[in-house]
Amino acid sequence: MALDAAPISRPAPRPLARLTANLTPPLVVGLAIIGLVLLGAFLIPALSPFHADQINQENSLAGPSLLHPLGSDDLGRDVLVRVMVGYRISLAVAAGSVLLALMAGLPLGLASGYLPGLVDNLIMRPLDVLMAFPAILLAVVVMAVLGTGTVVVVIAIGIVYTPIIARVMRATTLTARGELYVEAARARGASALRIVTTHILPNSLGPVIVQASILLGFAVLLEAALSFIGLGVRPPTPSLGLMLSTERDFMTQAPWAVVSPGGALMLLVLGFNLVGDGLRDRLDPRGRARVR
Amino acid sequence: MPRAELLGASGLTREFPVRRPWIERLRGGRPPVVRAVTDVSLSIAPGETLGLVGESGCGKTTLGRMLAGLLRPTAGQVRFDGADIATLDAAGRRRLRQQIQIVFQDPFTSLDPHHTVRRIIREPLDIHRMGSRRERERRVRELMDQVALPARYAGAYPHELSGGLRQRVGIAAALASRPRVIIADEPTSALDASVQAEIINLLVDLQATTGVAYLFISHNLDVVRHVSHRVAVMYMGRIVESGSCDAVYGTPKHPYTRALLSAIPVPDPRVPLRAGMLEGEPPSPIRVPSGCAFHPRCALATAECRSVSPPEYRFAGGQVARCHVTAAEEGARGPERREVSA
Ligand SMILES: Nc1ncnc2c1ncn2[C@@H]1O[C@H](COP(=O)(O)OP(=O)(O)O)[C@@H](O)[C@H]1O
Ligand code: SF4
Ligand SMILES: [Mg+2]
Repeated sequence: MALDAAPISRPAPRPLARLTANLTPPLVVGLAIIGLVLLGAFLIPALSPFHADQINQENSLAGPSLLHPLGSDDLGRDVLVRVMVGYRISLAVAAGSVLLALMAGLPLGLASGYLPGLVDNLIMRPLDVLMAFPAILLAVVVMAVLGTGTVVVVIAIGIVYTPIIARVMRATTLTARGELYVEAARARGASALRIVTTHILPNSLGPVIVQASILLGFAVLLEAALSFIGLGVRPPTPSLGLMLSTERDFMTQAPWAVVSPGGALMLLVLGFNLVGDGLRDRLDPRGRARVR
Repeated sequence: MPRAELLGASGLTREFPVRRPWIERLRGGRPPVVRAVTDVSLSIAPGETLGLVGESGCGKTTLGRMLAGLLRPTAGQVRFDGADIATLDAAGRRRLRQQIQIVFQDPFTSLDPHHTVRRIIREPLDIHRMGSRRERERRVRELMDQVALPARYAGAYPHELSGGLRQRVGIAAALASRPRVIIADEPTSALDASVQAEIINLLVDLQATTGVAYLFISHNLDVVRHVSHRVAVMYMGRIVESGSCDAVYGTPKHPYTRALLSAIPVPDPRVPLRAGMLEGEPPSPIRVPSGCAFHPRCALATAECRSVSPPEYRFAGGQVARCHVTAAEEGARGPERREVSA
């Protein structure tokens, strides 16, 4: 019996393998930015002769120099080292809060997408209420209840983002659930658990990963905003938002002490957004071949 | 019952609610329904192929899903191996899922894009815990061999395969749990014409080696004749004619069957060709015509046809057709006993 034409040779379709196969400019630039930030955040504070909290009054508000490439702040601390340590906080808070939102939002979205009706309403209506609040206000409310500090910031942002992840997951689950391959799995006798974990979840993950990478950027901003208004990370820890808020008093004398954390913030958010954009529409293994 | 029955149905009916805009719902009244399948009875013997033909939208897929136990009938009964499938316990339902399988129309959407060929074919074995891990791997290779799918495709993803190869994967997965019936729902209509014959021949060969029975759904009468032992012709949710292939193709009784056959390029000299048959569109299933649903398109229609729904008349050749006029012409028996099998 004659066989069909040989398969079209195309790169491996696994999501991660496809990432490398689909390195578009936004993705490359975004990943490069995040890679550099990570590198700097871990290496510079370790290699620098200065400590982030090392006060040197004689050096107060000194301009950029070879020794202090980004100058010094009001207490004579090295701005570069403080920005890099601030990055550590930003990255930790962003990663922790988005992870938390994924852990809560994925099962919630999956359940409400797969079980329309009562379960869907029980899950989504309260989440809709949460989503009705502006992110910052909701975070402030959570912190009013739980207090301040880095861990609380992570929890607050995680709660803010849970409904967003849940919604994306619910929408993609609803779509996947109507696919013929899900009916095929049912026909083969697959249990609901099996269908959800081996068919629906992998097929729904693409949009969630895109959403998560965009949320990472917003989490960085939200943490900075909370710290800026004094609700986030507590003072000795050099958060970017905290640096902006204390150094803005010296804006005219020492712009570098404000511009540096501000620019650093922008760069990291840009990096996450570029990665999110670059990933969009590239995680479906049927990919572009079908569109053409 | 004269013949051994593996899969059977009686009086199967399925309605779907029609979505109405809320403003119309406010006006009240009985919520409208689409009757996708109406009062269908049929029976498939072990190792037999029953062909099911009909135009798109006449209810073939809906009937197939009910027979596979994937869709609950509004009325009627499905029997498998002598048991009403609605009364099965959990173990019985699992067994049913193993013994009835479906080959889907569209191999592009019925295979999970994230699973490899190997994993797709192995899934039924995993679900029903058939054999050890090693034995399952061996069975997957055996199945790929059976459907003439080269072993090098085991690690491929569906989108990397052509339509014909994909449908082979679908067939191998359907065969994996060693089912006794496969419902093949237009298994070739999404494929290129050049590949269709290969898949049809594969299905025929597989029946010879495995003894599986088929409900072979198609809108192509030629193909159905080629693969089937018996045929059932469906029109607007009802089986309007059924019988052995020889009888139905040789001496069709229902005007709809005759019209379909006259559309086949090589006309059968025994079938009188009538001009003007199959005029017009099939009417909407929301507003099924009164009496015989075919009457607006039928050249033979009488006043009785417009008011009385024809029962299953049994003709001399052994076939059954729902037509008042040809039944009267040929003196076919009406249903004193309502025990008629397709
Ligand atoms: N899940 C459903 N909900 C509402 N209507 C449906 C559904 N499935 C099928 N139908 C309707 O039932 C009729 C028969 O459809 P189907 O069984 O798919 O026909 P076929 O397979 O012969 O083309 C069509 O009018 C279709 O719109
Ligand atoms: S019953 Fe009447 S309308 Fe229906 S097919 Fe027969 S002749 Fe035509
Ligand atoms: Mg169909």
